[in-house]
Amino acid sequence: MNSKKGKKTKTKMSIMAKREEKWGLLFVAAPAVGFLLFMLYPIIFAFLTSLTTWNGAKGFQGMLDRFCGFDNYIKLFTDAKFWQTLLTTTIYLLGIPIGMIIGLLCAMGMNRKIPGVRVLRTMYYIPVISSLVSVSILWAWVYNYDYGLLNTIIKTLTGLHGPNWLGDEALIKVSMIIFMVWKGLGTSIILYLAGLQNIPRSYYEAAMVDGANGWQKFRNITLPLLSPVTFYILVTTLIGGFQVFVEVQVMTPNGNGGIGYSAATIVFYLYQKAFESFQLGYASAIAVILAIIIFVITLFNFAGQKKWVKTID
Amino acid sequence: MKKKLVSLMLATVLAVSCFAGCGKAESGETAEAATEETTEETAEESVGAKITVDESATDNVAVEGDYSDADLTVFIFAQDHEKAVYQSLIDKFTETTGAKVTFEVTTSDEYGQKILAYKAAGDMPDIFYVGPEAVASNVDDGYILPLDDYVSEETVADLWPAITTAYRYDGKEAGTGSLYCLPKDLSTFAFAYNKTMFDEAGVAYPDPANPYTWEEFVEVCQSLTKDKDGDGEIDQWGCANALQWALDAFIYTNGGHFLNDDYTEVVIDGQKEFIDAFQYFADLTCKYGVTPTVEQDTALGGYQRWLDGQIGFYACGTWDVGAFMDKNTFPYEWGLCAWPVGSTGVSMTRNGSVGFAVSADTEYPDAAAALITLFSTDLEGQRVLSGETTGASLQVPNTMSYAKGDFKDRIADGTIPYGENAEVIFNYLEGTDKYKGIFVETTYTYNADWWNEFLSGGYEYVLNGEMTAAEYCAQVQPAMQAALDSANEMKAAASGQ
Amino acid sequence: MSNKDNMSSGVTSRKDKSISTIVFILLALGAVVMVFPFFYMIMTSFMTKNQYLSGQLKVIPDPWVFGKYSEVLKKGNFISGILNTIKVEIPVLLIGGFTSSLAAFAFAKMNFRGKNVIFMGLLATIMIPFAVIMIPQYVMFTRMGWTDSLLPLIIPACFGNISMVFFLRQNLSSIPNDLMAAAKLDGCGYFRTFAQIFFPLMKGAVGTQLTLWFMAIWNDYLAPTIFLRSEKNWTLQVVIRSFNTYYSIQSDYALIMAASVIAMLPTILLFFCFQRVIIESVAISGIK
Repeated sequence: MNSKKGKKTKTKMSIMAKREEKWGLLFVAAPAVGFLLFMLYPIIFAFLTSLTTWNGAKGFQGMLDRFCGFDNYIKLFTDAKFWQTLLTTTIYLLGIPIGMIIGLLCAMGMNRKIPGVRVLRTMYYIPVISSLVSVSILWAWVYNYDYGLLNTIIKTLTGLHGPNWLGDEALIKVSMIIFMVWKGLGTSIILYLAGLQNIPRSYYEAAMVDGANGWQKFRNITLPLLSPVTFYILVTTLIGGFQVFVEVQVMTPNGNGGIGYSAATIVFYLYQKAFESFQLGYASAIAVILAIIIFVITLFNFAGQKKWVKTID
Repeated sequence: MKKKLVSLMLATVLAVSCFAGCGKAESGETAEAATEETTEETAEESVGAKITVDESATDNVAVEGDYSDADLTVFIFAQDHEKAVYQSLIDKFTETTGAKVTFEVTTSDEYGQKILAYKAAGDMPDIFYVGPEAVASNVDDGYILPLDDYVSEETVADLWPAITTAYRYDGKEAGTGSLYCLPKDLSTFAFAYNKTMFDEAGVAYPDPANPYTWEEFVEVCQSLTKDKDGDGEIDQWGCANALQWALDAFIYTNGGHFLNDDYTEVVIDGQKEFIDAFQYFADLTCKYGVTPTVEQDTALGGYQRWLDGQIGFYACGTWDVGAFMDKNTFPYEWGLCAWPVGSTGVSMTRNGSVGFAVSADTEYPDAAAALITLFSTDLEGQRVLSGETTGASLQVPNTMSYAKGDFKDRIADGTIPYGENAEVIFNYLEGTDKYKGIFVETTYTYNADWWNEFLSGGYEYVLNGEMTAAEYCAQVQPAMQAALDSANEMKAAASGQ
Repeated sequence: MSNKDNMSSGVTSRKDKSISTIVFILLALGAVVMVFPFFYMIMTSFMTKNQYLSGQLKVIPDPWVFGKYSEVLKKGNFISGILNTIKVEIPVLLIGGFTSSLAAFAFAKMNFRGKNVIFMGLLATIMIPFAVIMIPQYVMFTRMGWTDSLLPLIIPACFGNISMVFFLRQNLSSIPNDLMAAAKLDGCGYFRTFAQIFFPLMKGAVGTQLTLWFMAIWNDYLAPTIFLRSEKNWTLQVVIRSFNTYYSIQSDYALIMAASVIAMLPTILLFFCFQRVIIESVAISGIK
């Protein structure tokens, strides 16, 4: 009799589970269908193109005629520009932790009882909501060797001529990082602020009772409870950071990628290959490699999530 | 509270600007004209004067023929003022033939990717731009129509020879075979000088009949380079040549070239003519100091400095003429002259062109051909574009009969404002014993990657003296060769179909 | 009890106060850095060409040149650009916002096979540079007959936005699962659970994401450039970009800045108004 009852419970549960599954799939149907309709074909297309030396002409027949297997990928390995841009792109990623740390500090500051928080928040958020193109123009100007804001300030304060922010191979990378951090700071601040306000005061009060100091409170309460936000920021900025490209177009003279191609990123290189050299096949191969890199890193992040991301449960 | 303040401020700003805008702030809106090949960046970003096309400017334009069943799409890149002119021509076309025309314009930066998208989708416009460098690949890929049946022989004979050569192709070689495009224009990159500056410095004007040698050129530039306001820093220079547009003038006049005759090899490493020319070009900046330094150039480009009157000699494309004549843009007297000559004794510069092509898939070839004829060779249309009826010149006429006839006369009598010595332009377009204009070598290769390698390898270090031209050539040649090889592979694959 | 408002405690020690003052000063200085370029942008839109090219830093225009703003509004298709952008924003935000919220709810609170795979698959779509996607997408849209309309910008986006889904999923994971279990026990249908229980809790996060999405669409120019053909369909950024190329090198920065300022205004106002919702979005008011 017992087993009969047990069996009945089990069947009941699986019906419920099936129901949940049905509804779950239904709810995610929209993005999934959207993916199938609008992304699947382009992704397969891009992958197929990467196996050819297609130049955009003659449609599919043109592509098939120029099938070349994995040649493009082999070429990539010996392509100096590919590695150069890969390195530059990785260097730009340094801006991410910098932005996160400054963002967190600002958010913590804004979380205190200080006047004009609303105004401050808006001011920090303005770079984020500005259109990238016009802001890039502005910054190219700020960095201008003779007439720029920075060098004018430096000249006024010290009488020395400021450095060539956008004309020096190493310095240009720094300039770009500063720009990108400036641009994205507002987002981290907003997200961290929200996360901070989500932490119950009771935790801090309990800690104070236990005699914890500021640093310990920060390390043991604030940071862990902010980890979901940190995770989100980390994942999304990494995905975006690998694909930086418009900034390079607008900040370098004539969109040339900087002196000696020093500021160019992978996507910038890919773009030129596709639309200026008409080497769509090769460009697609670069894109595939990039996508794989990003995917692996993201998976890595998600896997590591369990170790350091805590939820309120 | 802040919200209210902000809205109040905004309202005030907008209100005031609307009132003020009615009378004030004539900033002589000028826009660029880019008439170089489609694959290259916007040419020496240059300026066209503000042109408003009166009704009367196109009064005489009319096209015969009844194309009332035709529905054409035209897709080009153009600046505002060019767009205005073409729009008015199109309006006349639709008026007199009954055709329907959709006119699509984009920026020159985006043209390349959009055309590529249209090709990939098989959705080509009926009329679009094809430059000399793209004729072969477009024909091989089957995108454009030969025009021999649609354009009369006399019309073609009246075009500048350089044009017809550029747009003929027989499937293997450029320069012979069917004609595939009618030119939008044939442009050249002449040299101009600031007469006002010469007057102030007490230097004699250059003589177009006797182009300077390189030594003479340096001397003249040095006499113009000075510290005018006495603050210890030079603020006036003899010249300011942007490398990517001007280097060719120096290389070719010295008998140098980038590639070998069949465009399979890069030959700059160890080539005396090339290296000497490149070194001379760099010396103007780092040794003789007659141009702004590399950093100063990134701060404010040569073109801008020229417009501000800081530069003695500067390149002047046929599309720049209108802008330089506009006192709001360039308030100085100026004239045309020759680029200095190297060892060949012939002053050389680059010519450019872009042409109108008709899509091979068009349903209305006759109408399309008629429209591009209007844009390209129709006399009345040319009168508008060359400035006779509008008062500002966008281009030199494509037809020799008009160019050497009425056009020249109108310049002489002032109807068409032009810098002094307009014959310099004609010399480059046609070629004389002292002048020659040519299409640069990127025109003949599948893409311009090898040239981009030259540009992105750090040539600035040669300009500022950290590296010699010889060293740079040796360093950058392998990358250039690799790019050229790739391009040739693509070309072989394309024509192999 | 979770307490959103850390600042409402009435008791602040003297030490706290002095720290707060220092913090305020630092933040204010930082804010100036953040905003100065924007401020300069506005000032430039009132300057004459000679002034902003002059080599010396002059922040206040002298003389003030008005008229750039009205010039921008008269020029090109600026107004129609704004209208077109709005035509894209409204359906996308309403429909796409809904589909994304629903999907996030399912990912966060429901169990079904393949959940993680599907999620990662969707996330993968933003890992591929748009440059290689745009040509095949264009080909697709041509086959569907959507060229020369705003449809390519609207329809695909209505199916959902994975960043939003991701964010909402993170957000929801902070809501304990008891709520879900309780709903199930009550025999509440899944959609009702979503609509009546969870969505209200998500409102803030949804608000944030919609605002961010609004800004992304407002500022997007890559997709509109490739997908739109005739000028009458151009969205705002495409119009502004056409100003840039036409006017930038001969430095009519004043006009470009005026256009950019006008383009930025709606987003700034939007942010300012919805600020409170945005900031406090992830903070969830008690479940209790």
